[in-house]
Amino acid sequence: MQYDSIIIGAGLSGLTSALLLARSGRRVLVLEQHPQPAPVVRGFSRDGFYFDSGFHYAGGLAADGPFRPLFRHLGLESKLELFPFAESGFDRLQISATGETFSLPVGFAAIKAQLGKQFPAVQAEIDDYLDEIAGKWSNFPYLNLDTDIADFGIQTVHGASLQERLQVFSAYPQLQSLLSMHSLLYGVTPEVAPVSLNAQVAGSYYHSVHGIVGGGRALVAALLELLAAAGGEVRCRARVTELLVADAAIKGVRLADGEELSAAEVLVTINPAQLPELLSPGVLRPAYLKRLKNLRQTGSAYIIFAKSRRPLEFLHRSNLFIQPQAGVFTADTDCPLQERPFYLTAADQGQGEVRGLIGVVPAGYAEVAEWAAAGMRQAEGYRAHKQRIGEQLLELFAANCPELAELELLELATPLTLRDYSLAPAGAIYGVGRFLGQYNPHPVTRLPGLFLSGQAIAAPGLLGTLVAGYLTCGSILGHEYLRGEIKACC
Amino acid sequence: MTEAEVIERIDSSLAEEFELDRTDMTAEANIYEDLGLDSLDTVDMVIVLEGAFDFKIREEEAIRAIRTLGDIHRFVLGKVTENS
Repeated sequence: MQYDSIIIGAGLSGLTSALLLARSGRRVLVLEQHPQPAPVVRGFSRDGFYFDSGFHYAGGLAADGPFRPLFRHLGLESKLELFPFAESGFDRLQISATGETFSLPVGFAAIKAQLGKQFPAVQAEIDDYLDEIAGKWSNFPYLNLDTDIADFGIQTVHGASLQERLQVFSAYPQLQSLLSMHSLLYGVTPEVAPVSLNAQVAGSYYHSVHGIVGGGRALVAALLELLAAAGGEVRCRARVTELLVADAAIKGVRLADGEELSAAEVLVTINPAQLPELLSPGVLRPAYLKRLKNLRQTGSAYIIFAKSRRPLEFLHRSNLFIQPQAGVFTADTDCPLQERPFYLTAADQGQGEVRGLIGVVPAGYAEVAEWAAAGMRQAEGYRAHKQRIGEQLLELFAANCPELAELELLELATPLTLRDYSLAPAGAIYGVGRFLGQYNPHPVTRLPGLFLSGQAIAAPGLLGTLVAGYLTCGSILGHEYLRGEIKACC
Repeated sequence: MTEAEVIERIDSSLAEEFELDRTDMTAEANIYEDLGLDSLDTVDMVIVLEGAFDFKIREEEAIRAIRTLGDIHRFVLGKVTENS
């Protein structure tokens, strides 16, 4: 079969890219090796409850939010119903050691006012910090439609770490906690996280916070409908084993069953560390291949999915971060589960009573590595390990929140589950991370017709993956063309 | 490390990682026109040099100004001297 563009991976970046290319008139095919599109984001149902597994909430989607025009341009705005998180505290922090709790209200001005009230001695420093975050996040390419799109940013990979930047608040460890807790949502510890990465993720939430009615499942369904309407095709259970190259340019792909599909453009949205395996030797230079293989991946996690006998009103439109001791967050997994920070969010909170709970706790791959081989996930030892971890985590949750005393465990995802769904090495929860000193890959490669997309080239989350789709398609269709289209939607 | 050793390490690393022919690698060789690198290779070159010498390169202007292999030699020699 002959296509103009083949996209490998039906995740958010893949579907976004496919939609943009199909609308530009290309004949587009998305290939997904799982049985269904967007295996990470589509979530699942258990016991009558829907659980999101990849998407929880999005920042910057308020009517005046810089992310909103992309949503409108893609056609998602009219297909999805958004609901706002709690104005007075969309995210809260609880310090286990002292029982203290803090809330982050929605909006930079409200955050400044609230933190200033709690930490008056550093009001000026708080204002400076939040102004810096506000400036950085809204300057992200495609959120700012006029910013230069740098192809080579030495400055952006060096500079201060989030931990260094928060040293100014060292007399107020609770404030350091509040300003670094979102590191759990991008999987890079503040010690090695660029301030700009924290700005891109936390900054979007500081601006405005929304959930999607129906969650990731509704989001994926909307993208698939839009893609079908634009004439794009999606094929599942289609694993690409090789990228085909002829005359020093991409020519198509070969599937596991030997079928060859031709296309002048191939967009790879899988974890970039896996790209070298799809290429014959000599197609790209050792320097580039080594760089991809050596990209540092984010940490992994246990994700608990449970149901509560009582309604989880205290988590309704307000997530909870729990940290053992105040101070800059770490995601250190060289310690017992009880000493790690974690994140709690209510499942399916777009409508009706909320009784499903999702809890995310950092985990090391080594904790499950003995069952890493194929077929070992059925082993008795692995099941017993999961059972033990599940029980320990439910106890930990209940010890911190009396509201969570009546939980029943429905599922537990481990680093092996994350590895199998996202195909990321070592179950990296956010794939390749943005670490200080690391150059993440550019959408354009040296092989004509081969492009990269996915969170590794921009940032994690709905915002990061959609922006990655725009960055890649902008490299193909012209950034001025795409940005002009978005401006016409503003 | 002597100057000659630094230059040898630069040349051998770049030859291996960019599959360059050592006979083309004169100090006067233009890395873009003669050695076939392009702007996309610049980041890879920075990473190769960082790995070969275990330093971090933050000098964006100096990297952008590089045209010849000799420019790379001078840049790295400067950094090695600075760090020693």
